[in-house]
Amino acid sequence: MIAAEMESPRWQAVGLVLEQNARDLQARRYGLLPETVSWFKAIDLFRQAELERMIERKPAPVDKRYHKTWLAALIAEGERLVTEVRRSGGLQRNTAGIKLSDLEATVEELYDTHAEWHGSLRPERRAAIFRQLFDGPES
Amino acid sequence: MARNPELEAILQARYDLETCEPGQKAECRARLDALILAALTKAGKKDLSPRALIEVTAVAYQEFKLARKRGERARLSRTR
Repeated sequence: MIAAEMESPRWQAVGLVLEQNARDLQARRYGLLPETVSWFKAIDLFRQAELERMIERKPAPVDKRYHKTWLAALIAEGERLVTEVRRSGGLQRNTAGIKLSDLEATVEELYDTHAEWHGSLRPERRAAIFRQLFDGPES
Repeated sequence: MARNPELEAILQARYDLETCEPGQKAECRARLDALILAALTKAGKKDLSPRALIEVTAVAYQEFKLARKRGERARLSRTR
């Protein structure tokens, strides 16, 4: 099987949106609020790909690689947005009610996702801590 | 399905955080953080970081999420 056949259109779509968002952010094309909204939309797309490729089926190595890559890009873009929004004194009022604290909470959510899928604990250590915390098996 | 009520509450709070509207993220995050802190305190595991707890509950969360998504789809198909 050639590499192109292994790649999911889902992951490719996430990548295309992220690349466009990064270009727009760098060029300061639309302003902070639209860029924040675009970032949230990219996360939605990423979550759909994650569900389809990582949760509803056993992920292939190529899925794990894309997941880690796009997640890192979303975190980097989120951190950059947080910095920009802080520097400009917060987000302008908006109908979606998005505030700087929501942006920060979402970056933390993405770091959680990184720990969930790409953490460094060995499986046996994970299972042992799980039992200590919740007095039962992981699944 | 999670067996422990504290675990169940944490998984639900994580799911809520991931699926809530962008303008509710901070509120959902605060609820999740409080539940994680309470679980670590109750288990006498204050040395464990909240993110380590997330890592430790990864498999349980993925099963929880899959069950919720399937349930949502089944409900949607019944209403169509």
